[in-house]
Amino acid sequence: MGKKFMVKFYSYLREKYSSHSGGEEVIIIDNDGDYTIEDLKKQYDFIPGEIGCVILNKQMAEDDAIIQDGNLVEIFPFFGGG
Amino acid sequence: MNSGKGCNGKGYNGQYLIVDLAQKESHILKLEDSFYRQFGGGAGAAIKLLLDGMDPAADPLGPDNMLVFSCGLLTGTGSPCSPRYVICAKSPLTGGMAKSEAGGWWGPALKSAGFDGIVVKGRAEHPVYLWIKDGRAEIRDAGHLWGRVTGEVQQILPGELGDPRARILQIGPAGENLVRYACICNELSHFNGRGGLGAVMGAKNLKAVAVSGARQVEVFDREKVREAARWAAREFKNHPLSWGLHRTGTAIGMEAFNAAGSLPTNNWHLAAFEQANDIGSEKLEEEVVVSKGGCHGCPIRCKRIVEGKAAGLETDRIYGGPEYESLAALGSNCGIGSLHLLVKANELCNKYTLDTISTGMTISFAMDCFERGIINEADTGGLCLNFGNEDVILPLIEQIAFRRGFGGILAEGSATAASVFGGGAEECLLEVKGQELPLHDPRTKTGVGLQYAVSPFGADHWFAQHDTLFTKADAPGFIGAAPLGMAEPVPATDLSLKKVRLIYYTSLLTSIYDCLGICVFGAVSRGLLPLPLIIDIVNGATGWNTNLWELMKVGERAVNMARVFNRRAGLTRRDDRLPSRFFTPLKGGPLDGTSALVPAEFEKALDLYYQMSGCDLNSGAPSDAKLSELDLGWLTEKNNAGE
Repeated sequence: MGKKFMVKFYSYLREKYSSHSGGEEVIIIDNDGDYTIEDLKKQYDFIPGEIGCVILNKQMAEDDAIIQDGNLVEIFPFFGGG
Repeated sequence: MNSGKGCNGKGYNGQYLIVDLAQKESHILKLEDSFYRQFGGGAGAAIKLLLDGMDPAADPLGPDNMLVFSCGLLTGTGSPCSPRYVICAKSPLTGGMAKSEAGGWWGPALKSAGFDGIVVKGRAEHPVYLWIKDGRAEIRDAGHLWGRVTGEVQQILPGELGDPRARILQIGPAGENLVRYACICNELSHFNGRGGLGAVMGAKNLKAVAVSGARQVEVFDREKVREAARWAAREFKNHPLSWGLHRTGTAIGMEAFNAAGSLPTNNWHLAAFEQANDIGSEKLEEEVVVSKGGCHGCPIRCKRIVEGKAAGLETDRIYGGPEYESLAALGSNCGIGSLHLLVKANELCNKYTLDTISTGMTISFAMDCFERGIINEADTGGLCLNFGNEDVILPLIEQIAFRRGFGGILAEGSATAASVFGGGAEECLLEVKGQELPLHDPRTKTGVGLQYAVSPFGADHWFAQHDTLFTKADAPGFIGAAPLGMAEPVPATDLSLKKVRLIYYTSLLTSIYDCLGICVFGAVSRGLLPLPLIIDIVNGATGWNTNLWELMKVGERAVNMARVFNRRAGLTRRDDRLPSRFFTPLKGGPLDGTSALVPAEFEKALDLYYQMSGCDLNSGAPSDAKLSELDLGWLTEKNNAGE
C-alpha cells in the first residue's frame, strides 16, 4: 500500500528543496512501515540548523512523529530571534 | 592582565570626545590601552564613563544625564560583521541604564574621524548639532533643522556641511517631543531603538551628530583582519542561519512563529494570527521589497529596503524597511493584517524616530484596555481602539510623535499610561522595568523570558542568546558555543539549571559583542563568526594576546557595571520580573492550552541566575566579592553606600 503525503516548504527552503515554485512536493513511500519526520529530514539531507519548526497537519511535530497517508507536512526555516 | 606584545594603540583611537552643551565647549579624553583591555569599548566603555561622570539618580530628561556614543573595539577596523556602536544613558523609560546598539556606517565613520566615542553632557540652550570631522568638533546651530523629519535632515546636512561623505545620526520629532521611547537613527535606516535614548538627545536639544573621517583606523595586523573578512564573505553562504538572514531578512519570523504557535497577537492574548502570511517575509518580498540593505563590513546584508505603492500609503525607500519586530508589534499584536499599512506605519516611525517595538506594544496595550472597557472613545479622542482597526494606527503614531491628544498619554510609555488609566489597566501591560517586550514569547523560549527579567536594560531580546539555537547537538549555534563549555543541548522550554547556565554564559557572550561592536547576527550562536576567529580578529586588530577568558570578563564587567548603575538609580530585584500573562497557557495555534510558565519554577531560575552571576538574592546587585573579582573594586564602597 505505502503512503502518499504532501510536503510544503516555506521561504528560501522552497528554492533549495522543491522543484515547484509553490514549494509543494508530493512524497510517495512504497513500504508500509512507519515513516517519521526524522526519516523525511534524512531524505532531504538538510543542513543541520537549517530547519525551524515542522508542522504536521497543523500541529507541531517532533522528529519521532509518524507521517500518515494524506498528511500535510509544512517545513519552515529556522528563525532564532531578530 | 596580559599586555601582549606591547602594541598599544592599535584598533582604537585612544580618545573620546567630551562635549558640554551647556558650556558650548569640547575637549578630548585620552584613554590608555589598559582601559580598552578592561572594558573593551562599546557598551563596556560607555557604562564605565557614565558611572564615572554622572549620578544615576539624575533626571533622565534633565541636564545631568549623560549620553555616550561608543564604538565597539573592532568597529571601523575592517573586521567582518562588526559595524556597531552603542548609545548609553539613563533611560527615561526604565529609570535604569539604557543601552542600544546600531549598525550602519556611522560608527565606522566616527572611528575614522579619530574618536572611539562621544560623551555629551549638559543641555544646549537652543537646538544644536555636532559636526565632527577628522579629529575636530564643532557645535552648530540646528534651529533650521528642529521640527524636521529624518529624511529632510538627511538631505540637508551633507550639503550644508559641504561633505557628501558625512554620516548623519539624528532624532526626529518624537525625540524632540521627549517621547519616552523615541529612538535615534543613522543614515535613515539604522536604529538605536530601545530605552528612549532619542528623548535623552531631545532633552539636550541635540538634533544630530554628523561625522566624517578620511583616516583609516590603524590595526596591528591588517592582513589577518582582511583574511577574516574574506573568510566571512565566502562562508556566510554556507552557514544556514546567516544565509537565511541574507535570503529573507528577519521578516521570516512572522511566518515561522505563527506556524510554531508563538506569534504575539492581539496584545499577546493569542499566539497565532490568521493574516500572518499576509504580512510575512514572502508577501513583503513579493509586494514591496526593492533591494537588500546591510552594514559596513558585513556580507550578510539582512536588511530589506521597501517601497510601498498602495494608494494613500506610498512610502519612500530611503527609510529602509520593517523588521520582524516591527511587523509583529504594529501588525499581529494589534490585529493588523494589511502589509501596506504596516510598511507605512514603519516609515512614519522611522521619520519621527519612534521605536517600533514600544510604539506597537503601547498601541496594542491601549487596544486591550479599550476592548476591556477600561478606556473608551471619550478617553481616546473618538478613536475606536479595537484590535484590527486599521484606521487608528497611523493617526496614533502621529499623535504619539507630536504628543497630541490621546497620544500624549501613550508617549509616556505603557506602564505610565496604565497608571493614568487605572481600572485594572496594569493587567494589560507587557513590559519589564517599564520597557515594552520584544515580540518573542517566553512560554516557548523560557530563556528569553529569563533574559527579559534579568536584563539591566529592561526587556531585551538580545541580552543573551535564544533557546532555540541550542536545542540540538548538530545545530550550528550549539556547536559554535562549545568553547563556552555547554556540554549538552537544552530544550527550548526547559527551565532547569542547564537553561539558567546557558542564559548566564550567553549573556556574557552577547555582552562581549556589545563591547567589540560585533552584530549578534554575524557571530555565534546566531551567525557565522566562530569564537576562535573572533579572538584572532581582536588580536589581529589590537596586537594583544587575548583569549576567551579575558573577553568573557570584559563582557561580565559591562553587565555588572550596568547592575550597579541600576542599583544606585533605585532599581532592585523586584524590577526583575515577567508579566503575569506568561504564567497562563498559550491560546490559539498548535500549542493552544499549553506552555504556561510556573511561577515557582521561574523564581527558582531567577535565584539560580543571581547566585551563578555573583549577585545578591534580595537586591539583584553584584556582591562586593563579584565586583572585586572583576577588578571593579572602585564600585564596591559606593555600591554599599547605596544600600
